[in-house]
This record gives sequence, C-alpha cells and structure tokens, in this order.
Amino acid sequence: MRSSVATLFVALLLLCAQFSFSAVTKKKFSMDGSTASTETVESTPFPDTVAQDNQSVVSIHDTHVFCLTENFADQQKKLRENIAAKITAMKNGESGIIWTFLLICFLYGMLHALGPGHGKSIVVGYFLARKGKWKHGIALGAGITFTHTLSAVILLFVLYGILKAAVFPSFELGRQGIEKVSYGLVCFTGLLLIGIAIHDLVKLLRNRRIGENKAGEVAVSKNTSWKELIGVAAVTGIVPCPAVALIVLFCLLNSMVALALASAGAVCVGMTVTNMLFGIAAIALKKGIDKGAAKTGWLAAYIHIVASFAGGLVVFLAGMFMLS
Amino acid sequence: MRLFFLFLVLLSAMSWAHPHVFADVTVQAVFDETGFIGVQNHWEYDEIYGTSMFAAADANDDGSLSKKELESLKIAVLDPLAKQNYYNYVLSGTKFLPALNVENFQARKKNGKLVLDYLIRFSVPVSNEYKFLVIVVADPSNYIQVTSDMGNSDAKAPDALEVDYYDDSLEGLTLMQDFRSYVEGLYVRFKK
Repeated sequence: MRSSVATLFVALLLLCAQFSFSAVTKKKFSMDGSTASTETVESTPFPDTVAQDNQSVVSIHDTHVFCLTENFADQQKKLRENIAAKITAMKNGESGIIWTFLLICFLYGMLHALGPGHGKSIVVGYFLARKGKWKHGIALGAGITFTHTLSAVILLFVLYGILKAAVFPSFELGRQGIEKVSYGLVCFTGLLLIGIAIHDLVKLLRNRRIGENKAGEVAVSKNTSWKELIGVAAVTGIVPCPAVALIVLFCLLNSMVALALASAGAVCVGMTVTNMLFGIAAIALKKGIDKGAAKTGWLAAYIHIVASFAGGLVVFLAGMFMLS
Repeated sequence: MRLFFLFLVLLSAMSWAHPHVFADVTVQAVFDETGFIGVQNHWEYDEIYGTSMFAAADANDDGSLSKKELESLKIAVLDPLAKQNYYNYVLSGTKFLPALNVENFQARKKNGKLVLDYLIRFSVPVSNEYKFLVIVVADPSNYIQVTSDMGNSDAKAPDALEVDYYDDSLEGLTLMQDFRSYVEGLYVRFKK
C-alpha cells in the first residue's frame, strides 16, 4: 500500500515537472524574427529526457562536410588518449607495450608539429632569404624542434623540483612570458632579413654603372652560416612546448621519470621529422628559384632580392601572427 | 620536386590545427522569470591535461578537492579565460554579450578525466517579442580543442517563458567567421 502511494506521488511530481517546463521546445526557427517556424524537430519535456531523445531527432547536420582541420585535431586527440592509456597500463605493469607507446608519441609529435608555432614558416621564410644546402634545411628544422622540446623538459623539471604537482599553471605562466619574447625576436629576425634585402637592392642599384652582371654578383643574397642557423633555431624554438610538458608531467605524476624522458624524446623525433620536411622543401624552393633566375641573365639579382625580401616578410609576418 | 611543393602546400593548409588541450563540452541555456540568465557549462577535459590541473589544485594530495582547493582550481583554469569571456560567445543581435561572472563552480574526476560544471552569467531580459541568441563555446586560438556537442545541449526555462532552440552550423553568421567551420552553435529564441 505504502509503496503504491509513493509511486503515485513520484508520478505526480514527474507530471508536474513536465508541465512546469513544457515551454522549452527543440524547434528550428527563422532567425530573422518572422513568426513562421520552419521545422519542429522535437518537443522536449525538460530537463532529463532531452539528451537521450536526441538520438531520434532529425539531425540538421546529416550532410556534415568532411573538415580536414577537425579530422586532424581528432587524430591528435585520439593519440593523446592513447598515450594516457598506455602510460596507465605501463604503471600497472604492462611494460611490454613501451615500443607501441613510443611509436604513438612519435606519431603525435609529427601531427602536433604541423600546427603553428613550430617554426615551419620561419624555416621556409629564412631559406627564401638565405642560400642554404640540404643539410642546412634539415639542421634548422631539427634544431628548432630540439630546442622547443628541450626548453619544455628543462622548464618543467625545474618547476617540478620546486612546486611538485602544482607545476603546470606556473609552467604555463613561464611559457607565455618566453613566448612573447621569442615571437618578438622572430619579428626582429624578419625585419633584419628585410633590411638585408633592401640593403642589397640599394647596393645593386648603385653598382649598375659597373655593369649589370657584375652588379648582380655583388648583390646576390648571402649563404647561410651555422652560427646564423643556431641563432634562428634558438630564437624560434625556445618557447617550451606545452604538449611535451603535459605528457612529461603525466609520467612524473605517475612516478615514471625514465618514461617521461623517453616520451619527450619520441615526441621530439616526430616533430623533427615534420620540421625537417619543411626545411628540405624550403631548400628545394630556393634552389628552384635560383635555377629559374639563372636563366634570366641580368634579372637574376633582382629575383634574388625579391625572394630575400619575401622571405624576410614571411618570417616577420609569422612572428606578428603568433604575437597577436 | 613538384610533389614536394604540393606536400608543403598541403601541410601549410593544415597548419591551423594546433591544440594542446582537448575538451568535450555541452551547454544549457538557462532562463528564469526575468529572461536569459546564463550558460551552464559542462566540460570534460582530456586525461593528461585534467590530471595535471587536478594535481595542481589538490594541495594535500588526498584525491579530492576541498572548498579551498576547488577555488584554486577555478583560479587556475577559469581566471585566465576571463578575457576570452570563458570561451562562451553569446551573440545577441550584432553584439557578443559580456560574461558577468562565474557561479556554482564544481569539479570532479570521472574515469580519470577532469569534469567541470559551472554557470557563466549573462543577462538578457525577456519581453513580449522574441529575442534571439546564438550560443557558441569555442577557443578561436585552438589552444584548447573544444568539441562542443550542441546536439546534446539544451535549454532550461520556467513555464512563464516560451523558449525554442536548435543546433546548427555557424555558416552565414558574419560575426562568427573567426570560428572554424565545424564549430556549431545553439540557436535560441525566447519571449514571455
């Protein structure tokens, strides 16, 4: 008897709840204020049934367009979830999956480095402005990611030593500070390359009286140097990578120091592969320009200067984009 | 060589996606008798980021958050987002509404993931004519890859109000051009 009264009471309460919130409706309407509603999707008694019932709702997104960036980000998300799952499994004794784990970290690094802030546009811009060999392209791509990873690991370990588990908000503060300085320096590097291109142009125009070909030789853009490459790699890569830091910290929070370093290494190698490909592509682009320019005779010097100017501009704009 | 350039162009085209944090989000447009009062946010962060932030807040390392620890988590996670309106973009007419404050902040761990629930307060008074809102939760910089499931988002209103809502893409909304093409919005209209 008591239970049936209680059931009746609950039913009445649910009915009241249904009526008291019945004004909320899932319905497609016109946003221009016209009164005609275009499509009633479903009347939804609030609050609890909406989420469950949406499975049967006529979807407005049936024609969902394939989006490359969405797909790309989803892959990173899946890889990150996989990394977390593997770390947890290894903590629980499944040490045999270490190679799979490192492979996932490597793939994650490759995908992650495709995002802005990993120096790709700077590599391309720099080698438009400066002549380089294949090894230089590879070295700059690798140098940037190595610095990017190393700075993350060092900053995280130092802060972890001081703050222990409370490290990440402080890491983020530190990273944001370094980021601003780094992006400012990237802008400066771009301006420097633009300045050099303008200087070359002025020199070319002044020397025109000694003959176009000779003047061209004087003004052609300079070869890169190892010293310069190290400088560009340091300026661009010094921003600590939060993606690396988070994985390293997750390992540390699970008391797995060696794994933290191994995962950072694998992500770094993955990012390096991506950046190296950009370095090689940039050198190929520059070699193509040089080859084409050589056929134009006296115009070659001007083409080199325009390429140098464009390269400097790319570097400067990349810095500005990241600063903003 | 041509293939290589093609590769470069392809990679450059993909260079926008650069998330460091991943979050699955649902929202609820909340009304009372006076009108639209806010957006109830439900965020589930990825395990790696969530664990880091939870550990940072859990000062005594007991696996749960006291009131004080909860406040420090709120400061760490939400305060830096205040300038970005807590990634809650509510379009009313031709303007985005400013968030007034954060209320009822709650945090818990679910299957290793950090789950946050809170209300971002807004204020749009109700009238006899329909008022229209578009609610979007997204990080335009893509530092956080926000997957906002507007299909499973809804609205909550008292009987005195008439509220309709639906989820759709942001295509055609000039003020929403900064958002990526796959970001969806919750379209809401309400009147007395």
